[in-house]
Amino acid sequence: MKANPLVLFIWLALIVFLSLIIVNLLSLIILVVSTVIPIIFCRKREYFTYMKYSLLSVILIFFFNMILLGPSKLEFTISMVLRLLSISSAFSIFSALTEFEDILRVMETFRVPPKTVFSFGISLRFFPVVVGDARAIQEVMMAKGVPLNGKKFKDKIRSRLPVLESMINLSLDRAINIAEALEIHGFPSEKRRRWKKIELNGFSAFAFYILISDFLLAVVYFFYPSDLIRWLVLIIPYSVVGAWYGD
Amino acid sequence: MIDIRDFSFRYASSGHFALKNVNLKVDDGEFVLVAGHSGGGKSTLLRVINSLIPHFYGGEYLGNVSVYGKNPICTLPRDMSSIVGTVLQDPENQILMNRVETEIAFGLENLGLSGDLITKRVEEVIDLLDMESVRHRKTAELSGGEKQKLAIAAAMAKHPKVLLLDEPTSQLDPKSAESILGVLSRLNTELGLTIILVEHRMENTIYLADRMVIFDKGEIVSEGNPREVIRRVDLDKIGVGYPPVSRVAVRKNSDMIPLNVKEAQKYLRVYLEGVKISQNLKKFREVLLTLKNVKFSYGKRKVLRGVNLNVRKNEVLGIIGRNGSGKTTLGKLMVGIYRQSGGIIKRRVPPKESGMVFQNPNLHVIGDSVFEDVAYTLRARGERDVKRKTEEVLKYLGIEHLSEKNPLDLSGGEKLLFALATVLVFKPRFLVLDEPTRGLSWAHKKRLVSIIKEYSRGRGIVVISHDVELIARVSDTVALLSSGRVVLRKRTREMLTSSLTYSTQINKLVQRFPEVDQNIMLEEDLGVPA
Repeated sequence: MKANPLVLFIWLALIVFLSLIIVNLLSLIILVVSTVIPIIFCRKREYFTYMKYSLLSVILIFFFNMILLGPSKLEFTISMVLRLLSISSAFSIFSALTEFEDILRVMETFRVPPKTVFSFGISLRFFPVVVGDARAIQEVMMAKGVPLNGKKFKDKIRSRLPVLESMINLSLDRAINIAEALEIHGFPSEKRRRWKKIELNGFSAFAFYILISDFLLAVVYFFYPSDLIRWLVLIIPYSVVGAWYGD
Repeated sequence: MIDIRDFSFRYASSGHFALKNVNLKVDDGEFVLVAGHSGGGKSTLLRVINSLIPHFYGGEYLGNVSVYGKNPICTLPRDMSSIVGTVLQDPENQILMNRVETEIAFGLENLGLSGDLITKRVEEVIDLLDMESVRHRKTAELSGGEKQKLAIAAAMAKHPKVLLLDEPTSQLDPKSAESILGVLSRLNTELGLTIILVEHRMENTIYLADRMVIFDKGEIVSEGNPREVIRRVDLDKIGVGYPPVSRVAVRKNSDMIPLNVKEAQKYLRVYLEGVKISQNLKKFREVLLTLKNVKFSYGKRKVLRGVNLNVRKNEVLGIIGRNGSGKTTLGKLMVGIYRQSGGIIKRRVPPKESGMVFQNPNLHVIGDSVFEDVAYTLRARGERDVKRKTEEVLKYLGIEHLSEKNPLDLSGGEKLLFALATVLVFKPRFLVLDEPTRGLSWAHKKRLVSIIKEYSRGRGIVVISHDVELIARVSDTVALLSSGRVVLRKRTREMLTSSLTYSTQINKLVQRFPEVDQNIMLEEDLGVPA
């Protein structure tokens, strides 16, 4: 079973919005937990890979804040860390549960111009290829006996600059090939129609409308903050967790 | 029908014409093979037909072109794409979507077809090209051959009248290449689809073609039935090369020119009789590298499961094997890029004096001039006399005239020589070449053979390749890698004769006649210099 990408996108936008407007620590903890629960159901290994790097940056931010702002601002530091955790966890879930095509379909649903959609989408699609290039270029350097790990930090940076230069050259060459491929696929086209549109049926429709309502409630809370609305806003996303699966 | 009349084209960035006064007519349902030395104008011809020229690649043009009633000069590529399907050389960069089905549908979505019609077209090409087993897979997980098949499927879904293919098998192993060529043959014979194929591998394609067009320096030097073209033009001289069996027939002035082993059985037997192969076996003493029970894994995936092998001074060792058998990984372990997870590697040559040329020469490009990129290797290694050494290696490889050129603008063969220069410049005592002949014309292959033979003196070379003709010409010994182990290592002639798959074309012919010397392997054995 697969999550509906449109529902997932609305959920992601809601979590980001709530993370930005809520300041209460307990509420932020509840928000972080709400972003972790879906992963129990879908068990995607990618989530943990993405979160590994997020956790590292969270720890760094915590210590930097403590050093720069001092222990008196501990509550503020923790709230910032919780915000970052909830946002990165939501993005990790979104990335783990969607594919390149899903993101394109969501963007096309919101009538984003096709050229923008494909510029964004293709950069996502070829990101792993570019990472592979970087690794391969370093191997080529090693195969030429070029030292990549100097003792000093300055030497390390200097020895890696040609890798970057080489990657830029390769990416420019690849960009021409991709543009050529887009042309022979008939893109861009004013006649373009999507093959499979995102459909909202049953549970996904229910989840979609609940999340939209929650979004509106969050906007109300932003202008007229009250405890009742805050708890409502935070509890509603839990009720739709199971609704991603079923269509 | 395609009709090109007095057409010339010069790229905006170039001083010379890439196509000169080209006249060509292609009838409906024809299978046309376009051949020629690198940079001869073959790819430019395809870009004219699919209208990438002049809409994507600008420049100066003269003459007229008509493709099934449309003029590509006045028609945008997106509008030509419904009648002209194109498959490019590199399978990696032409697939834009993440899933097989959506890749096939992408072009159809751009044509503005309805959802139902797209579904019907996707289903029919999946059936036509027998892709049911991969239809739900991610495109990144497909093999090179499967990716090219997908590119053909995406083109075919638009029901084109003509299919253009620019060296579609150059990045593939022989088995995948055969599968792709089989698909093309079927599309041509069963559907009557017009096919224009640009290829370097003559022995695999020439017998499929109804017509052959030879390009040299932007001009058509000959065209017609492949057998007639072979009679009229010396293909070796213009760098295209013959299939080995055809070369023997041409050089021996045979009445009939065979294009494949089946035809050669009838006409070439006479030239095999009485030939005796005397083997002067080279002796190797000094061992440069020894691998004992070497293992390697990528995470949990075991790639090498206990390799035992050695490489000796003055020896060229060929490594052959299926895709994914661990050949490239073994090469990287040999030069010290990777460290083994088990076993022992004993080196008489330290990694700093070992070099490797990768199968994608673009990875060797750093800056924007050949000279600077080659010199970079020496500078980064802290060596002296950089200018002299760089000039020497460029001269040695015969590419000194390219020293100011941008490496990315070079042809396939020139790029390989450039990549080789970036490594040979520090004179490694141990060298690994990974798939060095991919996408090379016959002339460049010939040049590579002589470089390998010359450079191996006093050094050790490992050549990893699927190209049996190359391995037969350069290797002293051959190791067969299978499932992460060296299952066989023998002298080249022992390994590459009497085999159904790992034999040269000439030896496959010899195998049909048990009474002749079964050690005959190359045209040279029959007194025909390649």
